[in-house]
Amino acid sequence: MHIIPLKPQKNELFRPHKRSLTPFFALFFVATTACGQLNNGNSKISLQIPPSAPTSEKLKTTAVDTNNMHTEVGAETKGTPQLSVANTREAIIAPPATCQGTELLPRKIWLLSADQVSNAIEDTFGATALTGFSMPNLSVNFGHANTASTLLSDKNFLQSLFDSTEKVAENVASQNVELKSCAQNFVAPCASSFVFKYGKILWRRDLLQAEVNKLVDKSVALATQTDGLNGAKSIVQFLLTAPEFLYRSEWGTDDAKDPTKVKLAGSEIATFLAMTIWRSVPDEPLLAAAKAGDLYDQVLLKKQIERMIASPKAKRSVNSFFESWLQYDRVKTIPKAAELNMTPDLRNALYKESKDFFESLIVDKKSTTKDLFTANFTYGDAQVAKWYGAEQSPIMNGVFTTPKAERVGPLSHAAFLASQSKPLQTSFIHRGVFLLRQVLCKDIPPPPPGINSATMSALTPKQGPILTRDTFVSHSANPTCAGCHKLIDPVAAALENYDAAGKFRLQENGGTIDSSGQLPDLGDLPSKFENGVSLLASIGASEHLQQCLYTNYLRHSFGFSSQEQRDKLKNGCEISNSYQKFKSSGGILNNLPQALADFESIIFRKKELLK
Amino acid sequence: MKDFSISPLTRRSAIRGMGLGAILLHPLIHAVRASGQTAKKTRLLIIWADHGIGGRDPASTVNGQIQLKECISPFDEIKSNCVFVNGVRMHSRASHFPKDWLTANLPNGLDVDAHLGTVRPLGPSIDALLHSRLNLPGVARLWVNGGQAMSFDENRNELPPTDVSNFNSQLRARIGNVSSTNIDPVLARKKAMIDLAREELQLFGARLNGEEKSKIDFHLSQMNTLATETGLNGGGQAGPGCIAPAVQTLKGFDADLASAFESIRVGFSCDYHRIGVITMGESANNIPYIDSKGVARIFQRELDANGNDKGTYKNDWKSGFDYHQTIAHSFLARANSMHQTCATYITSGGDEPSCLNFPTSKIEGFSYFDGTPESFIRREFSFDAQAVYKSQCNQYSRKVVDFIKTLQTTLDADGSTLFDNTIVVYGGSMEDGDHSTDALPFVIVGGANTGLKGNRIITPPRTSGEMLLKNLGTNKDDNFGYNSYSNALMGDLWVAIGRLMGMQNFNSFGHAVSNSTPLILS
Repeated sequence: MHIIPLKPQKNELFRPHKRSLTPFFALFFVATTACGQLNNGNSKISLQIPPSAPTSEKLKTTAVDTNNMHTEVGAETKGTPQLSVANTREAIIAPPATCQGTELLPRKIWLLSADQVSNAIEDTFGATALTGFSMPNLSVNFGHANTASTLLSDKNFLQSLFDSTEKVAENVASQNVELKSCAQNFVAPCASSFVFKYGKILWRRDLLQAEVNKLVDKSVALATQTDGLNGAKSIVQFLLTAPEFLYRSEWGTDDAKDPTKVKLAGSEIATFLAMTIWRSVPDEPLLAAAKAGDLYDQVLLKKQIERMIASPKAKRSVNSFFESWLQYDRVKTIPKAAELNMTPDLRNALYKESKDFFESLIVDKKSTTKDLFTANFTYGDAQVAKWYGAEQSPIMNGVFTTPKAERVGPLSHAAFLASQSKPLQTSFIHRGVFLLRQVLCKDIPPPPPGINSATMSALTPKQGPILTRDTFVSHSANPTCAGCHKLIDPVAAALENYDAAGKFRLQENGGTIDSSGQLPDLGDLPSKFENGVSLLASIGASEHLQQCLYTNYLRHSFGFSSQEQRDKLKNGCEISNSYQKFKSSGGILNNLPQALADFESIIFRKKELLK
Repeated sequence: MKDFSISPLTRRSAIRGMGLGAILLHPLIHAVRASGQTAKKTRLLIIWADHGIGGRDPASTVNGQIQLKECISPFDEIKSNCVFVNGVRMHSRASHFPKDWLTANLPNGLDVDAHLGTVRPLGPSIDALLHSRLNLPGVARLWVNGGQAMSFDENRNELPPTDVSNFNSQLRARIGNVSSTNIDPVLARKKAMIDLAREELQLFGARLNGEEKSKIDFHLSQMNTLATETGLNGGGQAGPGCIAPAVQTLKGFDADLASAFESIRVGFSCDYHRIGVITMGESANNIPYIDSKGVARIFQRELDANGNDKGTYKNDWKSGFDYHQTIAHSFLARANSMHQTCATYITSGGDEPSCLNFPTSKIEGFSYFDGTPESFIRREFSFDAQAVYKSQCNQYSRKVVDFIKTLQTTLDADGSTLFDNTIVVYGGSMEDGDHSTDALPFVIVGGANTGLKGNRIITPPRTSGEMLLKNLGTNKDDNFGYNSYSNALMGDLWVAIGRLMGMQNFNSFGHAVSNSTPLILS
């Protein structure tokens, strides 16, 4: 792997903010009831809060979905249609002084995502068992790809599951020594032994004798009807298509002290940890710790988490989280015009660039949010270097031909930018909304009903070259749209220096791109920026981004099933205190999983929802 | 006639009877219903002889013993499992008659759509109703008249018509092998995997509530859809009889009937279907099909200038005849005519395979032409037509009984037999070849696990001295020179059967003005 330093950033990108910073926690509580219109609510919080800000009690936030804006013609959206949500303002993390209690999460069942299925198979049977395995991840909902409540085993998922487990069954039956010997003479004792051993790993608990018998009886009957090898294959498929494998469950047992709570079983806590940190099944030591009751002990629980973070398997969750949060994996499949020359090979290389970047910096380099998002280097092969304008790799100094710095941090990666673009053009609104909602945790309400985006995109008369930004002037001029578009458009314009393939450009249609603009009041972010690179640098250096990342990590890990859960958690004292600990310990991103132990929901859940 | 049949306990009736206690016991009541729904896997097979099973009142009691007329005498071997119904009245005429005609000629209050329509465009029928209301796996509908077969998937989508031998092929493909001794291991494994996963999902889902349960319900529904699309769907666990039927090599009525019987038996075993309808000798009118050249064709009856049915067909190579006359009217000579038609077709350049292999020797008559011995004489047969008829209708009863006996030896997934889990209805929409519908005979067989009790004759009261349908029917069995007609309607039979199948609160079928009065079958 080569390190490709981007052009050193000029001092101008990091100049001090022009206005003095209001204390951080006061600033990010600024909320709007409609975009850009400040609500002069009665303040119940400290004097730190600007007069125009409502209290956190007044904040009503709902699901954030970056694809939920009215679609520009030709813009690609990812996944299934999203929940329609009313959306006003998302506070990030309440300060300790104003946090409000703790909120247990309800019990639920979680469908494993495709990568969790794949990793579980690899960790159980070895990497070669995955030959021919191909399962796409489910669509993104609620901002992340693993939100438990919205992951459904649709027909395509099941089809790919069946096809993939067919391959896995073939591989395991020919590779696994125990199963190979069974296949010669497929009888119940042999099959039972296999099911006991591997079922315990895949189902994350000891199997009951009756469960083993049922699977074995079926596979032996099939072997009798057909042949032993077929019976051997069936036992693998039976294990992998059972709900006990496909769903993480949180049955728990009634808590003796509080009838509204249940205490999760040790194996359920172990499963939560393994699926979150390793994106896979628990290993033997973790299951043993679960069986011994160690996971109910905070000290022992944290030791297990530390052990898991140190494992190479932890890299999986790093990429899983960042891919889910920033959605740069779309570069692999998003339609692109032929003239952009984004070959499948290049797309994979660009995806790998971002993946390696996050994994390496977080796991190997123990980086912070700021380290990542202000990085002036990236990872990639010669193809990536060339795409960024470097003639030689790995040394990239002098790669840029323009006099200005072109890239800073992963938000300037081609994978991210191309993923938020149309086939040939940039996706102005989607980029702006994505940046505000997903990266900066700024809620944007959906557009008014019945709006005709085609009409709104009508060109405003202008002399000279017409740039993309020009075509959106009418949005901000229209009172119906201005509330949101005055927020969205400047941020979107900031990324106009990157074309639909993520390549840097200064001009469009013969005109010079103006990527300057202003931000809404968001935490410690500056209110104005001179160009896209300066905006990205400011974002990368901000605590606001760190808080948004932290919130998103918890959302990703706990898989909120509703906006209400998300609000209660993020306004609660658990996240507030947990975040303070994370921040005071240096904000090392590799330690993020330690935060999980700070939440009561890791052991207890609300009793509701399940029988 | 009063309904003394016992309906399953419903939550509603339980709550009525128990008052406040019911509220306290609500979860238990819920469980009662739920277990009832999941435990039963009852099948219904309707073997529909277009012109009946041998005339009016085929069963009687002599010295306390059930005596059967010659046409259905093979049922004597299994009569302890049979209910012989001596006559229910058809609401309408058979489906040969256009709906407008029926509307114009039927007395007020009779629902023209409520018969078991063997031609679907004429309206709903009991098989479709039960299929839908009980949310059953597919229905197999097989025409054994040298023509079509079709079925419905478990989502109640009607599958394209085909012929019986094709249905046989499709069934074999669906089971996943090419012969009864060579099972495709991959498909067999896939089916086992799906069946087991479904079973496990149901157990898993039973522990969940609300939104969480809906995830599993969705998973199950998607799995069912996928299984259907990949030809692997069974509504539940397959029994040991779920082994692909032999390839149908012969064509013709006998071969089709044998294939149809076997297809039903296998389909029931695999739980692909829980309702089967085998229609023998139905006139295939308005049925679209694709010929061997890929040309879309249609069976269509020919009308005269006044819009009256001429009894012939148009727009088709089979114009003039199908198997109906030979099968349903004992009109053996028609077979030769058919042969001639085929010969003409072939001479003119056609190459319809079924014409080339037209199995004249396999076509046999099935019922009277118009119900009287005189009609045979009038038709100037050169043989003893009545004797032939008796022999032939007996022969078809024989086939039905022999098939039913195979159900007695086929184990179902629950360990009992298909015979005990299946209600077989043998009957038709006419008494015999004269098209009369005033007292249709039926034999109801099997279904012990549904509560059906055999070794009985049901003869509903009749009304004499009135002419219900003008110029139709020649039985004239009352003292006034008319046909007496049964006071029980065919809907009364179907409601009784529907209840045995588990359709709760099934009170009326084909009765426009009031509830049906179900026959007592249990």
